[in-house]
Amino acid sequence: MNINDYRRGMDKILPDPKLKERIMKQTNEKKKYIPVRRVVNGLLAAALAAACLFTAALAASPDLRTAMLSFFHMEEREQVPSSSVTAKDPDISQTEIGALVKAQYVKMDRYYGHSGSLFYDLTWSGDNRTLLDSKFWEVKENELVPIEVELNTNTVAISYDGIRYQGELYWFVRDSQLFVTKGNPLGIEMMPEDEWYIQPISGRTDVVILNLAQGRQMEYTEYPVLYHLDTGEMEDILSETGASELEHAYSYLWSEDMRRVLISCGEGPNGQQEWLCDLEAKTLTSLDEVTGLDGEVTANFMDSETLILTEYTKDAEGLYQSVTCYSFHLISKQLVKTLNNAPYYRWFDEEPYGAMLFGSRCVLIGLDGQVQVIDLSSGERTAVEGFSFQHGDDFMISPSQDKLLYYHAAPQDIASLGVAQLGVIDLKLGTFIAFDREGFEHLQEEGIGWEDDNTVSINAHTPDYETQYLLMYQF
Amino acid sequence: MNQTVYEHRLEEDYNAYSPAVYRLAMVYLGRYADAEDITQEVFLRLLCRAPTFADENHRRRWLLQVTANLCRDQLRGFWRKRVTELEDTIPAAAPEEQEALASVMSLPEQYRLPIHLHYYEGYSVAEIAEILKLGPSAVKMRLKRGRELLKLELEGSH
Repeated sequence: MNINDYRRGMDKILPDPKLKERIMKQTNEKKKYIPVRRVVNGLLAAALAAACLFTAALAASPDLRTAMLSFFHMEEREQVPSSSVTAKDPDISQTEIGALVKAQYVKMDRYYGHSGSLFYDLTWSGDNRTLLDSKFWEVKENELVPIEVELNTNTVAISYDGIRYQGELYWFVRDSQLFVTKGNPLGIEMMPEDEWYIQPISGRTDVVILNLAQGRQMEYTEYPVLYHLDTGEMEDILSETGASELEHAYSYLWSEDMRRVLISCGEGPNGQQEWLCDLEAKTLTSLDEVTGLDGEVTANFMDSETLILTEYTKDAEGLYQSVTCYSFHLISKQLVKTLNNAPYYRWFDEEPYGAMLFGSRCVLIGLDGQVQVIDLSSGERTAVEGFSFQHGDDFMISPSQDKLLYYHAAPQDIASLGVAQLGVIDLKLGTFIAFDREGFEHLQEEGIGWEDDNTVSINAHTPDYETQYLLMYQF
Repeated sequence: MNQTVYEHRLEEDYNAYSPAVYRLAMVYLGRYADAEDITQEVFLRLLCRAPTFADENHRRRWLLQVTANLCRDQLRGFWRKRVTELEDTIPAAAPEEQEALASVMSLPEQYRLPIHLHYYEGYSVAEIAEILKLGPSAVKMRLKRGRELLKLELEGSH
């Protein structure tokens, strides 16, 4: 499917002209009006109240500035490559930025997938169900070297809840790492039996989770099963827990040891519900019963026995207003408040401030732009010295949650992120280094993120789409 | 500010933003009648609440956010109904355009809306996160999964 077809089709969807008439007529009949001054004053009062609360919270906290790290803005700048491709196969070059950052630039004549140091080019059948051909490359020194892999094909056929899920699953293990994929038929051609999705398990190369999906919109639901790659056997990992009885369960967050799972259920008649399932004890308990918190609470695993709980308050418009976080130990039942009623970060403010949440970490931005990183398991704070947060700045947590990617986006248009400054906070080392980028405006940057815990990457292409770039950085 | 000025402003806003509001409601609900009801309610709320906006982009995002909220409420209202497809063909739309619309509409809700907001409305991940009240990482995941499901030629078609 080409998205331009969607855009052209969508352009033709317009409201009936009579609708405008209906609305304007209704405004004359029964609507009340709130004076602008009152609204502005109300907003100002709310903002000032939030600001006062935030300032007071900062001043009162005894945990403030127990640690500190300094921002180091490198003098050296990156010269972002942007030349068009000349070779047919991908090629790679390396450079150093100020002796502190290693950069690798992979230039490709078209889009190749990549996972870690492995690049691949997969050719699928017309219906996207069957893998017809595959090529793999590995990064060795300064080159992409073609490699052979022993690709296994499993025919999946699983019956669950009246649906017989089927298709082909492709996998291989290399350097103790599992690579696995499946075909994805086009949306319009997708049949109920196609709707199963692979979820690899950290550290495991023998099994994966298959999420079996069904339904649409509010009735969308998933159910996970364990799939043994060698034997092709399916295991109902949640059997006898009662989880299969949950309606509209759509998200499963697993603890690292796979002994527990947090299950989110859709907004049914009883609203959003979160459940904790213990696979060994065969119990299924609502999150509010487990924790004793009854507000709007979300959870994720800090470790296999500890949850990070986040409680939100909303304003009259239903927007998140403030957040409070707790660390909750599942065995001792100890509940520790680690973030107290911090304003929720709103990116669209002229000078945004508040709490940005990243699993077990929080980046707390003050009204003055000062930044602290908070460990949400302990409440310990690390102040960032010499750095002031500005509009366009953003952070992303690393897989280990010990590092934060920092970037400043200065997009020229919506087609590109426009990463003008790039850096990393290493919370273990207590460092924060960043550098400026030159020439980024010649590429259209589509994505930025962590490849692994040591490498961040930017996906980009030239404006003519002839050349794809993968830009990787190690700090 | 008097009522006439408000209404003049409302008309301007309607002319500027009603297509985006209506389209998002269509993507969400799939039915013309429902999308019209939502559009009407959105603009009446704009008038009643008279919020102040930092700029026109902020105004547009607010309207789309209210649209998404109202659509969610609407779906709660007919919880057991299953509405996934455009009920009629779009006038003058070519077959491939109809097919493209149907493909996106057949996606689960959590993927359909981010795909529409990003690839039709042109919103960034952060903006979609605010409109749909999701975390940026959730939006990225949904865009990724949506792209995978559609096998869109997105990267080459901006």
